[in-house]
Amino acid sequence: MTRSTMFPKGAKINRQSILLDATIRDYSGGWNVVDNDLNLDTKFSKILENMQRGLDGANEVRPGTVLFGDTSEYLDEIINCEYFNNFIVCVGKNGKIVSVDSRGIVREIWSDDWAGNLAGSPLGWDTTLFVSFAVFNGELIICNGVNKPVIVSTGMNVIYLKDLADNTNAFTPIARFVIAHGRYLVMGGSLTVGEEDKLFISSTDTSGTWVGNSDPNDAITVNLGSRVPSGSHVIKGLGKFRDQMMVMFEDAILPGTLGVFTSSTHTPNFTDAIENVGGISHRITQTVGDDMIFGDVNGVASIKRALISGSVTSDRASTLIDPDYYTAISQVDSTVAQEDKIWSLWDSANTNYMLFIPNAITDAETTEYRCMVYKRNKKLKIEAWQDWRGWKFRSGCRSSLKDIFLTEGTQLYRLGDQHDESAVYQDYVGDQEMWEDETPFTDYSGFTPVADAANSGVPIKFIWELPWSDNRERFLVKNSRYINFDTVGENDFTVQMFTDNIYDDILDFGEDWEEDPLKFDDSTGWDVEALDPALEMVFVGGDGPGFGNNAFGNLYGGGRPTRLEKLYAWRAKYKLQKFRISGDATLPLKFVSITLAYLNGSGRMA
Amino acid sequence: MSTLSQLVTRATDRLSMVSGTGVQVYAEDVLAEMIQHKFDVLFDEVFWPNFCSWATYTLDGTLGIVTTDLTSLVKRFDDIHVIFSDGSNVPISKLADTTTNPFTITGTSARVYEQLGPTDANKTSRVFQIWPKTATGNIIIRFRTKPDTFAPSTEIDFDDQALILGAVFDYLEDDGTNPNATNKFQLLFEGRVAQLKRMYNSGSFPLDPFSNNIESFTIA
Repeated sequence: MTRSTMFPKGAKINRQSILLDATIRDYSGGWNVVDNDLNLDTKFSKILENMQRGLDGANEVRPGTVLFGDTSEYLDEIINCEYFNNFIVCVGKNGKIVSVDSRGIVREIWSDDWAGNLAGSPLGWDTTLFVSFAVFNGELIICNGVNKPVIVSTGMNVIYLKDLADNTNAFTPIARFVIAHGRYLVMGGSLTVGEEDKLFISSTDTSGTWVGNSDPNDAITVNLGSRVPSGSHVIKGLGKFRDQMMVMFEDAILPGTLGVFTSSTHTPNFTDAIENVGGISHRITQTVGDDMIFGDVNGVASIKRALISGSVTSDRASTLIDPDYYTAISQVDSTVAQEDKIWSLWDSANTNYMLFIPNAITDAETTEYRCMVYKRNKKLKIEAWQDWRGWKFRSGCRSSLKDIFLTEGTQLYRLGDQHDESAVYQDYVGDQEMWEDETPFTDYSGFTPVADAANSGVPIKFIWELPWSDNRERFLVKNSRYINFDTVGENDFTVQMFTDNIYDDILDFGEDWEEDPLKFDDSTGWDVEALDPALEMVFVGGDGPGFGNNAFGNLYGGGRPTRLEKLYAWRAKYKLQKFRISGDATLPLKFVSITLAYLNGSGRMA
Repeated sequence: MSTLSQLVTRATDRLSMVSGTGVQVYAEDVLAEMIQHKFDVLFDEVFWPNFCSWATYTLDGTLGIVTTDLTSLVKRFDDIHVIFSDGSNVPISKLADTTTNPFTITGTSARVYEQLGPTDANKTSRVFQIWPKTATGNIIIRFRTKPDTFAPSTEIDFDDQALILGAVFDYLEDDGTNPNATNKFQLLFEGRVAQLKRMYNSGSFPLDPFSNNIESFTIA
């Protein structure tokens, strides 16, 4: 052994293998903002923007969207849409209705002109801000609350809903909400003073026969106001599951049973009431198997029938995200806007309840429809929330093949399915495109129209932030050494690690005015997100080619590949650490696990 | 010879880490510092010939310093290997500062030398002074020049293996994992350093300056 100043003779070092490792691979908790993230399990995510828990247990970037059709030739803005008999039926703010076939070809099926061809030459619909749909006996009924409802046949012929025997719609109610339940078409939400609590129930097995039409007719109306135990008596929406229909009020739900007759008189049963749980919009109610999911101002709830007693019980589903839900709802502080614009969709293929909430009341001020996604799969024991951002979809529907279609303005988009060949990994494909360096504008929009539809789309900005972790040794100092990922996909991503509650960059005084370098009087600028991570590195997904192999991509490098089992140094000293993973996705990416190798130290932080 | 960047990349390879310039954000600086540390220690260990130079400098005769600026040549007093008076094979000694009062040394021949102190304005540019300060004439000096702290692109004129093995051993010691690997690299490093020193010491060295050619003599 060399005798030198580096190794004095006789010096002995007692060496042991003391490197520990912690792997995060359970993401079942989803998005959670209600618990303090200093005391939260790593299966939850403090921020989970534009990601979802995949059916394989991994956390993956949400699907993108691709342009499917454009109705601008006929409609000024799509208010709502519904899939019906191989077509998507879209209703415009201008009162016109179009059908869109499987190739995206748009045909007008209802307007003043079409209405004028009917007997009596009636007018078409007026300006329409809300519509609801119900499929009854193979036909689609559409209500807008302003005009008489229309009925769409399987051949896409549209006429006013009428009594076939009387050949008139004089007694057809004008209401906003319509559902088909049992053998009845049910309407509610009349805007006529005195009828706010009135439920209109059609004659058995007919959609056009209502109170006032000639016999045979067992149609009835029921005023439910006196049965509402608390809050407003105005009907806010209609729902159903199994043999029960639900009438939603501001602060109560009345379960009802139709088809109950006293001699020949239809006497629906509304004896029960669920108090302190209500609804804010007919459009956020979704029937999912044995359950019904809906929301009120306080959060999203589900109701189902108790197994033994058969009584209907409610359960709060949004507990983990209630603060953010409430914040989002409070931005729409108008009852009309809540009813018209907050809407939902059930993506049965991915078991996602998708709740869309605009960030303003008026269309002009609205820049985003935030999509809060409740993934619910009882078989796989998944009940997790996700926060999907960057969209402005006002309505949507689900096709018979369980594809999801979404509308923005006059355009119709298909949501990519990550599990088959139709996967889409960017947003607004076919409508927007990026700069040559593959970046969008700062608001994540792109150029439109696109030069090449096949090579278009804007990236999906994703953020995944885990809670603070103490590696199960709260008191001890830890020294991280290496980081490792199991990932699938090719997109790159930035990993940041924060330590010891240092999150925001307190030395950042905000962004200067754009016009000049001046700040506010207190020397601060616009408040922008400025974070202060202890460590930060960019990696590329496990299927990526790796550093140097991606010809001319990413400016002469493919990034740090996570498919390699070699090590990445990740050195920091901390008592608490928090991971944040973010990026702009244009390619697939999912996270299977994150592993941190570290050493435990003493309790003293130097 | 390799650049610091190349040495870091080779060290990351030995550590089973993903290698490549700029890949290891949080290891490259650490490894670079470890390589710098190994170099600094080994540089001082031996007057490696590849860093040493001979030079003749003239004394100023008043301050006891040479007239040439040594700033970039002799950076530390410890880098002076030996000093001769012009035409002499007898090295000038260092000042025995606890037994010799240098002000008692007089004359015009260089007798001893010492490091310039912090109050001397020539500390950086001249590094050392000769006693007596009135000494004149030339002195012959052998010194080593320490390279500046390495930049990533700096070519390091030293044994690659010694630096890589030393840095790897140092890094593994911090890892707290696999003691056998740490031991292995420590032994490899020490073995390589010992080998370098043996190579430095190999060859024929005459015991005195007059016996370097035994076939050459003069008959008085």
